[in-house]
Amino acid sequence: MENPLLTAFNNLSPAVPVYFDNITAVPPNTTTEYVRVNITFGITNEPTLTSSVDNARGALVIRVFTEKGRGPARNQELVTTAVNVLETLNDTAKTTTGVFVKVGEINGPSFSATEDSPHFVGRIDTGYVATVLT
Amino acid sequence: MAKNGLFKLLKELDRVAATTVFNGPKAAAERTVRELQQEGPSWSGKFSNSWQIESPLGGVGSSKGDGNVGEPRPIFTPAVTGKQVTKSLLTKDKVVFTVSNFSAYAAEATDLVESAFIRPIGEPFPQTQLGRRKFREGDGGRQQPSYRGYVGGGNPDSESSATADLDWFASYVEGGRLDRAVRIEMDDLFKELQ
Repeated sequence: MENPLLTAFNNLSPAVPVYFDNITAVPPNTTTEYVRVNITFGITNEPTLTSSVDNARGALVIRVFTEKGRGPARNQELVTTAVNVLETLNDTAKTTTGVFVKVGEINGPSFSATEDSPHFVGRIDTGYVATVLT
Repeated sequence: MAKNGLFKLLKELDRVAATTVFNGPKAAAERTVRELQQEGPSWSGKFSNSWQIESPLGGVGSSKGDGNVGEPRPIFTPAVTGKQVTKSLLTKDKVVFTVSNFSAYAAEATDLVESAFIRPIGEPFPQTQLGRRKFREGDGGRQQPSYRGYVGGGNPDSESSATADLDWFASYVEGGRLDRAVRIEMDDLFKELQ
């Protein structure tokens, strides 16, 4: 999930930096646009009669930060980039090995802006299921 | 069928109807609230005691926390009989219980919006045992404003902390634990009906 998002935003002109939680830190006091991605884990496996299936479930939260006071269009454009990545993930055919990821319905976008922040924030979130194929 | 048998059958149908349509989902909602209280942030305890359950019958089956400080207190609503589950409810294709939080800063606590988080003066640590158990500090202060779960990254001479992970609410709802809570309660109730 991380690589397709990073690639999609890097391919924009100009490229938009993507920060993954606990991997890269957002520069302090930045006023330019960027994206923050948080991947959380919920239930990690499902026991069956004879073994356990590695079926990680969790939530994927994507926040898009754009400059405040310039209208919502740019933020919506970047949110659409993220949504397209997630939809493409769901369109990917299942293989016989590796990890197969499906995301659920995408909630949002919801938009917010606080008085003291230089950014207008758009947010989408969805659940995902990642199955280890053997 | 003998008269007593008919009476028992009607009583059983009443119990099954109430359980299936109402009491089962109600129990799932109560369990969900208990789990959300444990998953979510807890400093004074006001947020974790501000959950509420709204039932499709309005006042019947609805319950809310008191919004006061302290350790999380579970909320319970009395079970209902089949008669109380009105005919209009039984003919609906879905019965909706709504779980929500009525705290004034619920949006901040669930990481939906940014805010300026400042530690209360004289309270260097959470006031609840739950909060202290989950207390974590970041490197330095916060970038202000920020999301509740983003700690550190600010003034190195300051402090920042959190008592729940970033996006804990989205993780609970979409990461499988909500589904599991509903499944456990409905399975338990159906077993009782056997």
